[in-house]
Amino acid sequence: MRGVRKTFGKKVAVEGIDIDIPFGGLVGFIGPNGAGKTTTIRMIMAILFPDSGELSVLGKSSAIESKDRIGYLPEERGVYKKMKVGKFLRHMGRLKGLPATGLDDLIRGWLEKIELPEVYNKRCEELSKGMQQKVQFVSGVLHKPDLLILDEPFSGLDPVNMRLLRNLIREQNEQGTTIIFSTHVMAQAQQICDHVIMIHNGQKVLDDPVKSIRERYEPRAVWFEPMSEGFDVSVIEALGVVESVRAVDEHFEARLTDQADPWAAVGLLASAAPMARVELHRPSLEDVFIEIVERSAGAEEASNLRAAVRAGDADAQEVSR
Amino acid sequence: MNAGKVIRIAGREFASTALTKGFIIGALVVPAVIAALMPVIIILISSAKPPADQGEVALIDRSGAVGTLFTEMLEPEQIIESRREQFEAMKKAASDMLGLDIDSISQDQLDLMSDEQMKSLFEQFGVPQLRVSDLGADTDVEAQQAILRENVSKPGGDADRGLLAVAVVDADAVVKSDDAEQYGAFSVYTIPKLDDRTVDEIRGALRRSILDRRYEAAGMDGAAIDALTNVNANRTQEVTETGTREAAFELQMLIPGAFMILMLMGVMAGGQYLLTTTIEEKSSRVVELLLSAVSSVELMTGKIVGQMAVGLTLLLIYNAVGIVALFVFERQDMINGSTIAWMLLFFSLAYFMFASIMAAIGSAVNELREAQAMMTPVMLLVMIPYFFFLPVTRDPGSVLSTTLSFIPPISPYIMIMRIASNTPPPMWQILLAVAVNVVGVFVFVWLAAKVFRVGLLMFGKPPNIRTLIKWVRMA
Repeated sequence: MRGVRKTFGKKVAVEGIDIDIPFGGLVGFIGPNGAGKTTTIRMIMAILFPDSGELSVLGKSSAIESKDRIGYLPEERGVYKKMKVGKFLRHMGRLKGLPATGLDDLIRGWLEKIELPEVYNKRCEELSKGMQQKVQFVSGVLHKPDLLILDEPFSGLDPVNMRLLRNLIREQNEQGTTIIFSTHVMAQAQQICDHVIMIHNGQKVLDDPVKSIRERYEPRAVWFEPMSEGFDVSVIEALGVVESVRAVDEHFEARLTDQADPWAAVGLLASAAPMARVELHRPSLEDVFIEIVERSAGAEEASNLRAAVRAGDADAQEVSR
Repeated sequence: MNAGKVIRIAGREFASTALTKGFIIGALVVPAVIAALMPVIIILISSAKPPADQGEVALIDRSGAVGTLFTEMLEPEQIIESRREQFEAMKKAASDMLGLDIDSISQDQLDLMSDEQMKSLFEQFGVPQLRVSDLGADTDVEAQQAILRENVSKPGGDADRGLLAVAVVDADAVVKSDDAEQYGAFSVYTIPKLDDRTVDEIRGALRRSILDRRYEAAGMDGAAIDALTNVNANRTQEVTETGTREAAFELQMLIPGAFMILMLMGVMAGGQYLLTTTIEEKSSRVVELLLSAVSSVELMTGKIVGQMAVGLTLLLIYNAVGIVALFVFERQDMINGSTIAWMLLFFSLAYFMFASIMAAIGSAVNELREAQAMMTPVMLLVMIPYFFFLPVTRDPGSVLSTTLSFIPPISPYIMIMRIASNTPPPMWQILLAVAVNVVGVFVFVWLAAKVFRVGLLMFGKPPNIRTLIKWVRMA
């Protein structure tokens, strides 16, 4: 994508985005709700069309010409309620250009894989929402796409199915499929992707491999858990390397001063008082994201965002427990 | 556009609509059941015996001339006879209208029953049992009305209700008084809930008895006057290649209307189904999954084509029924193959325009309820051909008819009425109408495709006209 811009009336949904997705990559689109992720994906899918800018998908100027090579699991997804699962998948497979012969075996194989072999002859409406979601995933991968786009694929799934789907996504990637994976739950992106693109207010704010992000955003916080209850944090604050201390759930987080050496700080903290745990906290994508926003916008927006992102992550932790 | 995908979408559309129990029941079974039930319904109706009025009719005959005749005419036997005559007259009028030669059609083709059966049917329907009491010329009408008033609340049914009606014949009703220009009148007073047929019977008997007595008084022969005033007219005959047959102008006027209505039915059915399935796909959110496999234009085209097949199926079924009926009545030459071919062509054109509107509406709203508001103007558009049914069939070549047949989207309906009429338009007009409609179809489909593309992914408040125009510009 080169300088892609999309507006809805007065609202600018996507503003001048440049994106390159390498062949075989597993790229995460992250950002809070309403950031412009789905609009970007819909433009890649040629369901929406940019107002300006250029776009090329799998070497074609529009996804319309290569739809049969793309698999898509939209965020707004549904099934034909009255249709039988097998028939539905057949219909989608045929629409994606698969030949009729051998299609049934392929479908049954996939249903086996998503642990729903018995639903072939069931009506879609008889399936639970999570089951329907897995069936929809199958409709996206049935035709062995070169590019697989998944918009919030885990929303509404239980932990067991989340793991199942995660493994299937990885498997697809290992077989050479390029994957774009969009989520507002950054922890998920961190777990799966090797490259993330952050979108905020319709603009790209980060586009890096996960590894290099970690390297670039050096840890600036130490998490510690004192042995005794009613611990006086002023001891820690007095160490000179610590800017501030705040309680986070069961532990404390000490933010280091810009001059402090993180590794030395860990030693200082560990010897300052009897500690159950002292840990150098690596920044999560979420922390990175908030830091970026903090830099570009104001503290207020960042704190709003922190709340929004935390809410998303809380959902994710809820299901992964 | 990928034709294979369009056909696939169309196939699913057709299968999910026409191969469902609902459709088969609605389109085929219900009409068949109704047809099969007709005799049963007739038997049921005829076996139900509605209560007949029983009671007294008081006659105050100031002319002193009609009493006996009136009493005779209200005998049950006489009433049955007069009802049978009325029925015969009705039957003749109906067959005249449809251009049927009653005598050439065998009894069981036209009559559901023989004369005997008919008579017993009339008896079963309940013949009023009326006693006439001739009260004499001087009886006070007010006093009789008072007796009637007492009977007002008496229950009906098979019981004798006493005095039901008072008939008053003026003194000069039969013999005109010297200085008057007109004869005197008769009046009838009844209780409120008297069967209207009973009232008709009483009035009819009064009228006929007064007339008979007038003829007598004037020294004329009633039968001779009847014969003089009744002109027997033979039906208009059409001379055909093989002989002659009775003309059926009314039927000839109905045939174009039938074509128009059939076409409209097919178009409406297909369009309605299209609206429903579009809303369904949108509200079940399956649409974005579909859009990952096909473009919005392919999706819309496939859906329109699929539902066109549904409409066409209905059209062909009803057409076949109609053609069979025409063969039964030996009127098969009233339509011909080319008319049907034109109908199929104009159906497709009319359908594409209507269906585009339906697809656009379906994509713009979230549920059927929201579509209703937008449907009102569309329905008015659909009603237009109905409004012009009479003027067009009466004069298919008029300036009005000709003009209307070039205005899409009503043009196809008007044109088919003109083609099916007995003065079909010249070929250049038909071809011009086809051309105009093809252009119309492109415009409608083009506009609808734009609304469709934007609308499908828009959830929330249904759009107004201004928003729709914005969508067209946007897409």
